[in-house]
Parts: sequence; C-alpha cells; structure tokens
Amino acid sequence: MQHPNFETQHPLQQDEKEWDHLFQNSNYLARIRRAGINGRLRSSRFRSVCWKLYLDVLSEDKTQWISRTKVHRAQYEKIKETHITNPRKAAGQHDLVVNNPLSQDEGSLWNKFFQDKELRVMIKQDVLRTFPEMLYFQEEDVRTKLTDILFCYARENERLLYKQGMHELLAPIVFVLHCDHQAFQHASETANPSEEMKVLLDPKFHEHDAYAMFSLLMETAEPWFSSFEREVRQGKEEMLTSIPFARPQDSGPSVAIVTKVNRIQDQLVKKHDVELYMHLNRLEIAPQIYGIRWVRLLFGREFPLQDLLVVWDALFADSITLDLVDYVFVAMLLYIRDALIASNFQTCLGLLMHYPPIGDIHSLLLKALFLRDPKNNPRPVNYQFQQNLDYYKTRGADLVNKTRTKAAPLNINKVSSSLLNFGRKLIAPMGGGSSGISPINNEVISAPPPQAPVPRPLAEPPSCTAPSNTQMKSQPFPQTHHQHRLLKSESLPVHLSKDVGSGGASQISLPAQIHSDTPGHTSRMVSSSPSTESLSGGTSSPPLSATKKDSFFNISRSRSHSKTINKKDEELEVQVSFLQGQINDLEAMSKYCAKMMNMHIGKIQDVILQEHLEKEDEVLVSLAGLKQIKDILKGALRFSQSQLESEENEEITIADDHYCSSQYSTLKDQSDPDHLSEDTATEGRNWDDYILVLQDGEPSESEEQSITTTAPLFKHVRGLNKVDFQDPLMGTTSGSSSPDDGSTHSKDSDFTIVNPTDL
Amino acid sequence: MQNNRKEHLYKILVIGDLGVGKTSIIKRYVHQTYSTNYRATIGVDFALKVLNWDSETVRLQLWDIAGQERFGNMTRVYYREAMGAFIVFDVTRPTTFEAVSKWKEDLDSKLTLSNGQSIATVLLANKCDQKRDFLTNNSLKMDQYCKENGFVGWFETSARENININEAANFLVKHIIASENDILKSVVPDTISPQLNSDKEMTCSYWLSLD
Repeated sequence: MQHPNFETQHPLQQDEKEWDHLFQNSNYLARIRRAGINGRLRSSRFRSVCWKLYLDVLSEDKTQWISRTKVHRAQYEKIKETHITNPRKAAGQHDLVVNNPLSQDEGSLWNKFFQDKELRVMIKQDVLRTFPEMLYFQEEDVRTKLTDILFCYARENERLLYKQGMHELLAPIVFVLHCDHQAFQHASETANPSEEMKVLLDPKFHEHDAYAMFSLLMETAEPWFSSFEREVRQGKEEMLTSIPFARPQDSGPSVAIVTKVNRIQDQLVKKHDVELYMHLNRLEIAPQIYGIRWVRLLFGREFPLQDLLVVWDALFADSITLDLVDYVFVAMLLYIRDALIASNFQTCLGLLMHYPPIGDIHSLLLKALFLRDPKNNPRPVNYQFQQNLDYYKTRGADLVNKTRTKAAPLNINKVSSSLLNFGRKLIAPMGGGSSGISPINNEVISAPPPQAPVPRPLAEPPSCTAPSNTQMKSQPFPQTHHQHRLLKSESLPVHLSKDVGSGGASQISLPAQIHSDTPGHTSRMVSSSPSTESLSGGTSSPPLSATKKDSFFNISRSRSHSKTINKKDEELEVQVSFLQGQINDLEAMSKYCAKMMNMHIGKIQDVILQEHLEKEDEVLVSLAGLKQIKDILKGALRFSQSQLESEENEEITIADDHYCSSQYSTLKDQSDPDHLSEDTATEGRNWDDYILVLQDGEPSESEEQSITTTAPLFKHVRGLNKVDFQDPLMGTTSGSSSPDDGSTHSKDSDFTIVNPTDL
Repeated sequence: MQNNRKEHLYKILVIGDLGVGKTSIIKRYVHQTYSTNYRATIGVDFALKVLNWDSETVRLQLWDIAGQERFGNMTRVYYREAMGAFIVFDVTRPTTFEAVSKWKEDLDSKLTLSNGQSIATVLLANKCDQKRDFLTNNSLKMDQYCKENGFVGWFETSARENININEAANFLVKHIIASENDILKSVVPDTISPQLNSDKEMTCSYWLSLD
C-alpha cells in the first residue's frame, strides 16, 4: 500500500526505494518501529531487516551492519561445528577409558552422543509438525535447518534445552527471512543492489541469521519456557496465596509463565474489565489453561500466519522485552468478552482455546496499545467485537486446527508473493470475491424475543465437533437498555441423524451458535450440526422444547463446507477481512444513527406533548414509526417483521435467509453427497451445508409475539438466488459488492407494524 | 423425547510423553478422523464427546495435555476435577513406556477422589499398527504391569487404524461410573450434587434436568 508505483517500476528500484524509505532517514529506527507497530510492514520486502533491528541483531548504526552480521554468522558457524558437524573434534579427546561406547561417564562422548540423539529425535518430532499446512515447512532442507538451529540452541542453553513451542517461534523467523531472500533474489537478477542489501539478504546464511534472531528473541521468551520453579515473590502475590479461598493456581511455587499469565489476569484484566475478571474467576478458569500457549507461541496458534507476522511486527518493534504481549493478551480477552461473560465453563474454554478469527488484526493491536497507555494512544474507534461470520469458515467445527491441517498445503511462492501483494489486495476491488465468499456467508440469522426463554443446558465448546457447535459472541454495547443477556443455548446434545423420525424438525438440530448483538436484543443463531461422522453410534437427544418455543431456525451443516473453504488461499481471507471491516463500520454507523434518532425523537415527542396539537395522534403515530426504524437500526427490532404479516407474499426478497439461499445456489454444485447429513435427507432438502427448518405451526403465535417483541421466526424464501450479505438484524450490513443493498429494503412500506407500546 | 434425562459430565485426562499420539487418539475418538499433520500440543487443549449411556447422556471433556507439561507445576491445574485418565505410550518407542510410571506418579500425587482413591486410569499402547507383535509378546506382562501400577486396564490402540479407541473409552467410562457410584454410596445419600473432590467445592459431575 505504501508503494503506489509497485507495478510500473523495476523491482529493484522499488527495493531501493523502499530500502531508502525505511533505513535512510537519520532517525530511521524510530520510524521503522512505528511502521512495525502500525502494521505497515505487511508487504515489506525488508521485514527481516526490520526484525533484526528490533531484536538487536543489528545495531542502529548502519556502518556496523555488515560487520555485526559477519560476527553473528561466524558465531553460529562455530556453534554448529561444535555441536553438530564434529562433536568429537571439539572435545578433542581420544582417551578410550573415558570415551568408551559403554561408558556411562557423564563426560563420555558416547554418553553425549546418545543424549544428542534423543534430543534430536524430540526436536525433529516437533519440527515435522510445524505449520503442517504450509508446503515450505515440508521441505526436507527447511526441516533440517529448523532442527539444527533448535539443537544448537538447546546445546548452548543446557538449562533450558529444547522446549515444545520453541519450534513455532523459530518457524516464522525462518519463513520471513526466506520470503525476503526470495524477493531480493528476484529483484537483483537484473541490477546491482547495494553492498548492505547483498550481505544482509544473502540466502547462504539463512540458517545463521535465523539462529541469531531466534536466540535474541529467546533471551526475552526463555523464562516462559522454563519449568524451573521458584517461590512467588513477596508482595501482592504473596498475599493472594495466603487468602482463605486461594485458587489452586495461587498456591505453591510457581514457574515464570504461570506467574506471568496470572498477573495478566489478576491485575490487567481486573483493571480493565472487572466483570470479565469476576466471571473468569467464578468459573475458575485459570489463565494457564489457555494463556500459556498464547504467550509461549506469541499468539502463533491464535492468528493465521499473515496476521501473526503483523502481530510480531508490532511486538518486536515495540520493545525487545515484548512488553506488549500482556496487552495483546488482554485485548484478545476483551475482544470476546461478551461471549465469555455469556458462557459457561466449557464454552469459555472453547472460545479461549480455539480463539475465533479476528477480522481486523490492526484494531486489536491498537487496542493493546491503548490499554497500555491510554494517554498517548488513540482510543480505537470501532473496537467492537463483532461476531465473526467466518468463524466456521476458518475453524470449521474443529478443535485442534484440524481443518487447517487438512487443507491443501499452501504454495510457498504464492504465500511469499502474497506477502508482497497484500496491500494491493486489500484495496483491490472485490471482483470475483462475492462468488467466492457467498458460500461463507451461510449463517442464518434470527432474532429471538429479548425475553425469550433461552435453554441453558450444559455447555459445549464451540470448536468441538461433538454434537453441536455452539458459539456466542456479542458486541459490547454496555448502554443497551435490556441488560438481559441471552445465555447460550449451548450443548443440548444434538439428536443426530440415526433416528430422527419421531422428533421431526424440532429434533433435528439445535441452536448451536448464537451471535448476540446488543445482548438481550437480538441474536443470531447458527446451528452447525456435526457431521454424521463425528457422532459415532450413540449420541443423545435431549428435549428441545425450549428451543422449539423460540421457533429458532435450525440449520445443519456438513463437514464438506469447511473443507471447501480451507482450500481457498489467503486471498479470500483478505477479502473477508475487508468485508468484515465494512460490516463493522456499517454496524457502527447504524448504531450511531439509532442513538441520534432516539435523542431527536425524544425531543420532538416532548415538545408535541407540551403543545397539545390538534392532530397530535397522527404525529405520535408517525413518531412511533420512526421509533421502529430506530429500533431496527439499533438491532432491537427485526428488519423483516412485516413479512410475517403476509405469509403468502413470497416475492418479498428480504433475505433473512440469504445465507441459506446463497448457500443453496452456490453449494449445490459443490455438494458432496457423502457429506449430506441424514438430517438433510429426512427433510428432503438437498442443501449440503445449511438446512433451514421452518417451524411450521408456529407462525400465528409468533406473529403475535412479533408485535411486542422481536420475533425470531424465519421465513424461508425459496429459490432466492441473491447472494447479498445483508444482516437483517442490523439492517445495514452488506457483505457483497454493494454496501447499499441493505437500504433498498429499508423502504417504509416494509414496516407496517405499529408497536402498541409506542402509541 | 424423554425429559429429565440424566446427564453426566466427566473430565478425562489424556497424558503421556510427547509424540505418542494423544491428540490423534482424541481426534479419532471425537471426530472420527486421522491425520499425520497435527501440530504439537502446547500447554493443553480439549475436546468434547457425547455418549448415550444406557438411558443417560455422558459428556466427556477430554483434556489433551502436552507431553512436556509433566515438568513444572502446571499439571496440577490441568488435572483438577478429572474423573478418569488415559496414559498413552508409543509401542515403537520404549522410552515413552518408561515415562508411563512417571506420569502415573505425577497424576496420583496431584489428584485423588474424595474417598482417597486415585482416579480410574487406563493405559493405552498406541501405534499398535506399527508393531503388530506387541500384543502377543507383552500381553501377560502388561496385565501384570497394570495390576502393579494401579491401572484399571490397558488397550493396544491405533488412532490411525481406529483400533480399540472406542472400546478403551467405554471401558474407562464404565469404571468412572462405577467409582462414582461407590463414592455416592459412601457420601450422604441424599445430596443432589455430590462432592467428588475433596479440596474444592466444585463438583466434577452433576446431573442436569432438562424440561
């Protein structure tokens, strides 16, 4: 994005230009730090150089770059010689008494040899499991590099040795170096680059440079991997352990990582969100359950690689002490705080351990900066945690990133080139995107009455494929009037396929995912029923009367969906995050409109009531109409309620079910009969992914309800081919090319219901 | 549909040295899939499996604990309130079997049921597809080993070939239910939420009536 002449210039010219842009200025280090923090290295071809500066592999003084680099490389050369290439020579002993193969002597070379072998096997085991979805890490020489570096590090740091997770700190470093090398080689084929560039970006020293960067990163990260116990320091923490109701994590000696994550939860989270803090404490969710992985891998499993690199840009650029980690941690918790607060133990764990995709990684970083230093960082404008509609797209219904690992391995060239092109893609038109995206937007939205009895059974983690996948996320709108929170209707075990007969539609699937906007007002619900395969034999089918009453739409979805999606490359991800951003903006806008409308309507009403106008009634009725629109904007009233008035009017294309209908139209061809759940068959609907089940017999009742409450009834419009993404809840969102689509449905004629309470 | 269906929730630990196939076993059991591509577990992960057990519903919360986590004090938090455990080793790597007793010790030292008993633990000899003769050579020894080390039983399993995973899980659940019943009998008979854990007021298993 910062290279407008990207296409027209010679690659090396761009390189030089970018190089100068980054490193020429007298105060360049501060500048590139800002660039890293602000996400402007996303498409840089010198990210590795920036990282070297951040990590103090290179000094700020540019004249020392080449010499420092040579020193580091020579050091690694020596280290590798000592530990790998020729360990015997290093020891320089030929005494058979000590160096006997059968000797158990500590100093015995043979003993060391066996230890080395064991250590290598352990490292190799994790290296083989590094980013399994990326072709690059399947290459044998890359794996050897990773193993050698980790082995050398372990031998140089005997106290720590190798700890699981280090491999995933090293891998992105190796990858970033590789990408920069590739880009540089490509550019330098036809021109002569500067000496510094040639030395710094020399692929021959890939391994050396990676080692230097990794070991400097580990200087900060080391305590997080260490399992050495130490007494918890005196002070606040000491007091905690002596309180009568000390939690298990409070007692006893502690390792550094446990202390760290507990300090984050007990101090930072408490400070910034007491309610969330209390909730996590009440559920006794110790932060080490989810937080250890977050911190150790620097969030490596929580974000897709492209986003992860942006997070690391910021973490490294900010300070080599990685001080920002704590605040990213808190920002991540706050992002899903409403969903957490509305969830029970199991669902919370699901959310925390299989973190939902974040639409805009940059807003998360801004939030983290703001949390740390609110005076010097702007409050993020739109830091609302919207439910991510693509949660199931990327995560599928899965637990341990399975969908990712199952996906076709990424093509390395594609990835590195996409690194370069990322910026452009972001602003590129969505052309072709809508068709690609339509299958994603396949969630059906419903708005249960605010006071609806919501089933509240045991929880089920969102990302488990066990019978139903539940998830709830909500936007924080603390000012919402109805504080009533929808509790997750999680985990009524779904009745699966085998013997659906008796129960009929209501039995088929459960509300499995609820997105609640403005807690208590509306909620979107998606039931992604587990694929039949995930339910071996006996799965339970508990009563569903509670949900039936709400006439929720039940959608079931098959596994094939996530597979399809996962095959798409990150281009789609970019588009999705772009759209997500648009949706966020539009949602925020409509909330704002609602708020302002509310204020003005209130004023007008006050005046009218004082004036005792002749046609006061008519004005009040109109005002009531305006209030409705306000409620729709706010998301408190369903956009399409008028439809309920005229059941037979199938032409109205308010696409409540646009997800399904688009699903229907786009997925039909892709549908894989193997994945057709038996539910689908029973219902005679051939939708592969989502099945709408209209709760027949409910309409009349719901119709009544709908006048006073927001009725949840869904109307399925058959054969609708629209792939527009309109969120009927918000009335303003649009996922397809035209964000204005929503407004076409906002004609007054669509709203014919007068809310009696307003009259 | 029948209402008032009894529900049980059991937390089950899956532990063992790194790379023995804990994640694969869970994946196979919960999702009926297998891949060679799982990432190394860092810290802990979990999955849920729902079973029909006679007329009741059994929910298993499977805790997948990273192989390296035995070191350090972390396991105590991961173990708490567990009702059963699988300890897994890799039949192709003897060192992983040597670690079994260490895991068992770690488990027993940090977790007991309210009656002082250790939780039901099943030993899994995984990757048996890679070493077919394991059973024939070691069956008696394994029985003996289980008896001596307090395992309620053992299975040779293969996540890849889907051998014995369901059987082992059913076996464990049976033992959990049995030990739970023992505890219930010994505790005050009319409590609604039995206290199953001595040091904490939380219960690991409870009934839920749905109407």
